[in-house]
Amino acid sequence: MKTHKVEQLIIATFGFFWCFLMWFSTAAFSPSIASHYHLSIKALGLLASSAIWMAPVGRIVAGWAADRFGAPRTFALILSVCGAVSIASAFTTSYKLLFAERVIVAIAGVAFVVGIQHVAQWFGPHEIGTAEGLFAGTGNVGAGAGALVLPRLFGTNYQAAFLWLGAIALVIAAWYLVRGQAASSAAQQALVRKQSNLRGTLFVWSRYIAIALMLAYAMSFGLEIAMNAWLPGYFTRGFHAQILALGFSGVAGLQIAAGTFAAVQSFTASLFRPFSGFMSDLFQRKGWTPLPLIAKTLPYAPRLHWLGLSLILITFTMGSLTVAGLMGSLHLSVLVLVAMGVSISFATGGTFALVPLLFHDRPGVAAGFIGGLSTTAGIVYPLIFSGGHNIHFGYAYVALYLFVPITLFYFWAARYERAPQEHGLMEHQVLVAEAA
Amino acid sequence: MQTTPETPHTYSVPREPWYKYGVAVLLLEMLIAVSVCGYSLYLTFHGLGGFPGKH
Repeated sequence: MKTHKVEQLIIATFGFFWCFLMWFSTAAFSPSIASHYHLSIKALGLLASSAIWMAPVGRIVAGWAADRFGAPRTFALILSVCGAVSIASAFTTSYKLLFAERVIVAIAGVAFVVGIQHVAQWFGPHEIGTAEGLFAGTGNVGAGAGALVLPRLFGTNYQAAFLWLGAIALVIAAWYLVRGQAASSAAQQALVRKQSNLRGTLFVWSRYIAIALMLAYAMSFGLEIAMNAWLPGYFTRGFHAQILALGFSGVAGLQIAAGTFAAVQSFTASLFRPFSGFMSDLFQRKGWTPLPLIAKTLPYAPRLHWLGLSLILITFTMGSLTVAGLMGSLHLSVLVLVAMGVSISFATGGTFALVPLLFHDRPGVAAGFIGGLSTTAGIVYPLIFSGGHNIHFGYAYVALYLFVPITLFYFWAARYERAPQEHGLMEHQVLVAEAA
Repeated sequence: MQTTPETPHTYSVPREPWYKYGVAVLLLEMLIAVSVCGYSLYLTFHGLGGFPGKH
């Protein structure tokens, strides 16, 4: 079959966009579902949190499956299972069954690592940043588009939405199977397939640079999803008087204003992500290596420096958010949030511009580890944010006690001038097993 | 900005035709992000409504 890498990028991006649309479609209709089944606030919270339950383990398995069976088959399986269950959920009348079905539909969120693996198998080292950025950034918009478009298209008729989303997912699954191709060459596909065993998985999981990238992604994407959940409540409580002074009143008014300020972070973090991939490519092309400690002679060293700069920026914006909050300045806080969203996008895009280059023979396993385990950070940060005596201090605590150590660890892990992926826990044993 | 022109990463690979369209798409996405944020923040700071356009 004759194809082109841009066709593969379009298939992966569209498939990922649809998976994210399905992933967050439950949240988009949660008020309608709550009203239909007379749910309590607790039950509603459980329904909202269920979207993320399958992500950590699911992404690890999906990454391995993409290496083993190829991205088109894995992606088509995810789309068809989630699509079929989404259709079934449209006809469900029991809330318990609906809840279970929507947890299964939320598996769609694991498609991210499959697409990352697919794009990595087609694009070269000089353009991988932009290609992965376009895939991830455009696909991520599915989450926001779901919140914006679905309630307007379907009103409170969530059953019709679930039916259509599922039916179209089945069509995309067929498209992926017919036109998708796992890799640009049979040799590359065979190499990746050969390495997708338990030994290969343990190898990736024990590498310092893989752990550093996983933590960098926890510091960026983990922060992004944590802020999505945390910020509306933060603005409502931390800037109550300022929001009332803008002319908003009542719970609905506060919710609209706080939701708007929160959306700024999410929107910029998603839509600036392709630009980060482009910047990683630009650093690579220009050979920029401005940071101390981090390797300067590796073939992808400038990309390591771009990610290092992004981590510093995130830490800085976290501290600034605390300062803006303590000053009581709503305008400054929102401005810092814009900067934070952009910094987060720099790091998310920068991380996945590196993963396929560092682990070119195990892109799916590496993407699953880095993109999967890091999502658990989304649960941790809000607990710290809400734990202090002052609501504004949480960002500074996280920056000081988590982000500074993570950034230092990243600098340390990225210091090797030759093959950083060869250094890790139980280095000797793993390298001997690799050679065997 | 420090550069190290003698290192192996400073290779020059000619850009393929798709690349300029890819960059155009990412610039468009950034423009959408800035416009939506700017518009919704303008509405909110003037007490008119907010994201996603509820008035």
